[in-house]
Amino acid sequence: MKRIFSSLLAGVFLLTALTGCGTAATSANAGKAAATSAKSVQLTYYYPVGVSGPLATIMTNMVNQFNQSHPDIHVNPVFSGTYPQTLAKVETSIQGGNPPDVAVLNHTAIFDLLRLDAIEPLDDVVTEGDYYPQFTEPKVQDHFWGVPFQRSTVVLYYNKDAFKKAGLDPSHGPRTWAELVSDGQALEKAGLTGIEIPSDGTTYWQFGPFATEAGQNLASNDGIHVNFNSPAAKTALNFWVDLSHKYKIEPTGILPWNTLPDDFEKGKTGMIIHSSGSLGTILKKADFSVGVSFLPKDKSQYLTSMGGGDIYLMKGLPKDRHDAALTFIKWMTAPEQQASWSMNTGYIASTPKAYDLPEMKAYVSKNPQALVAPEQLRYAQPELSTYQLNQIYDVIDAALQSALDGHATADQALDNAQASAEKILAGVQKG
Amino acid sequence: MEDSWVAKEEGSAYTRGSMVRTKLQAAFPHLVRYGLLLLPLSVVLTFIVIPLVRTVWESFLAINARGLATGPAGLKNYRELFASHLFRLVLRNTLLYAVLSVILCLVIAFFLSLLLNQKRNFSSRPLLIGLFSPTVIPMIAAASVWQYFLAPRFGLVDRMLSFLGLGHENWLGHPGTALGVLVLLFVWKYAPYFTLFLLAGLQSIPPEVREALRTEDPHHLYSFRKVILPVIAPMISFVTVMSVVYALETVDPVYVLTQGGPNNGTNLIMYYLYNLGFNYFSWGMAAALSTLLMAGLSALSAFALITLERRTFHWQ
Repeated sequence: MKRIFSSLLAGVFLLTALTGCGTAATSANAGKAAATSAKSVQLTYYYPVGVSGPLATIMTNMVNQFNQSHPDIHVNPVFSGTYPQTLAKVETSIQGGNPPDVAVLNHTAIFDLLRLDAIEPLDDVVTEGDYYPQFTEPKVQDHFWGVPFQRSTVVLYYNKDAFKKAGLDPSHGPRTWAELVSDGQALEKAGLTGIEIPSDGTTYWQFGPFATEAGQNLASNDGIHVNFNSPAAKTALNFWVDLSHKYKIEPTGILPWNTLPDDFEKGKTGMIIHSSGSLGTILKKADFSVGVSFLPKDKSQYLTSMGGGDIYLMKGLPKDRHDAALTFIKWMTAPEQQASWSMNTGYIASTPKAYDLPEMKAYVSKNPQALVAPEQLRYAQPELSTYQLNQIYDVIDAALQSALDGHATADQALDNAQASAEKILAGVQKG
Repeated sequence: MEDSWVAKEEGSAYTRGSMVRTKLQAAFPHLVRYGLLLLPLSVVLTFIVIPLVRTVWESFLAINARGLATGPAGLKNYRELFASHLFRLVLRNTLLYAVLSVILCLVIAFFLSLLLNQKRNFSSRPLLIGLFSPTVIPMIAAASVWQYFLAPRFGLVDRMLSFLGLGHENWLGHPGTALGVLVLLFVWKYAPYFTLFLLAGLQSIPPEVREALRTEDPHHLYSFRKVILPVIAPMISFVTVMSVVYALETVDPVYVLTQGGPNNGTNLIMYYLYNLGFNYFSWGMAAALSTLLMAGLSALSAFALITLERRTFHWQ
């Protein structure tokens, strides 16, 4: 009898617990529904943060602004890590049958997104939008897929005050590879680290322009061919290795992308190579005069890599969400928003029109450094983009790191990388 | 109240209807018990059994980038896995990491437990808090703190080194030192935890036996080998297996501190597994590796259970 009683008691407890949960959940849902208008279309928006600084806050503010000005749409921004993490997250959510409606992803992720059959073309938005053609061209499979949102180039930041102290001309950064070395040596004599180039994470991105300047891009544009062991890439990597091992103007080992701007902002390092998207934060934090310059040229001309993210529309949305997402994408990439995003972060506004706006003009006249990246677009080369992107990136990044940390010669490392990459891409071609 | 209800039920037990009722009544506690089990069982089924079976099944299928099966693949996924250069490197890393971590962990845990067991004043409160706080910090948080400490030049470690007049070192910037950092993190986090088990083993020696050992063998010449070691042997084997399992399962510090780099020097098997699926879209190979890991880890656990059972020391 006692056992029946205790079983009963347990049953009652369980029931109470279950109904308790039920009520709690319903009331939470009710609260959420009440908070937003009953009729509004709900959108989920994934975005990564790829540079240093409090970009998630800036992004949330921007989305809030959109929600306030569009009462019939409610966008829920979801910060989803780095670029590769965001891609992984989008991909998993597609498999789970619950993809976001809109996402910012690497421009270079396009081949993989197409293979996942994840995105919808955005030809109309792009043709009407007046974006820098360097950001949108060339078409892939005859369509424009992503709208440029947070695009950047690789630039060189230098400490003008330190340049003066080291007896260098602060009006310009190093213009050639040889000047990079001599400037670095002068800075070292003045007690600073000469230069720091990030080499963890997506090292290929900083490396790409050096290879291109030396003669050949790291990849062709078809997504299935790479040129990792070209003579140009070997020249470039040997130069990188020499910076720390021969000229001793760069610390040895792998330098972290995220913390390297700190070294610069605190005046420990005279020059760094980083994304133009870090400009906003660097200007805010550095208490010296910051110079921004093009990447130095090898022989003939300046070149740089473009990078950063496009905003994509996910495939297969119901009509109301599809239309709402289009409205959101157009709003996010309109000149006004691009100007404010660019001023807050340092990313290049994706349309030249943004630079004609009065507030942008005022900002640029105060911070002329902000114009370096858009001017550099003339010399911009496509970023390494292939199928199996994350895997190819890991291959080339590991090769660069092994050479930089002295585990292999530059030539060996790149030859191995080429072989691995060809094997991976051969698998893609087979289907 | 309760008693009168019981009496009434028993009084009418001979009619047919009440017999059914009695049977139901007899079955009721079972129903409740299984009903209660239903919830946890369905959770186990949904989140463990079904994915497990599906993973094994899918390791023999060809799977496209979207994760959909396109046809049977036989052993192709397994062959591709073992043909991969990176996989062999990862195996080597994992082996090195596991061996170093487990040995260091065990040796330190063993001496710590002896220390804590022998002298009362060693088990002072601040010491215990200091020792066991790593155990309760989540790995992700611990790794983030370590990353902060290890930052070249600005981190605590480099500042202390420069205070001692040594140069700065980019600890996470070389494959060797980065793997070393991971090993130290593991030992720091788990050695005190395993100490608890060994300490429990040592303290299970009854006081009269301890008393006898103290008088018969004041210098612990024989008692250690003949009594103490056999007593804690099952604990040692349990702790060994657990630490091997934990070491093989390491993924969070890799994710936070190094992302497998530099040059894949800290790419451990769990991180590689994550990459295979979520970054490389090689779902077939990922399923194959999961199956192998599952088989390996289950074998290890079974081994642990068997040795634990067989070598348990009984005082009676």
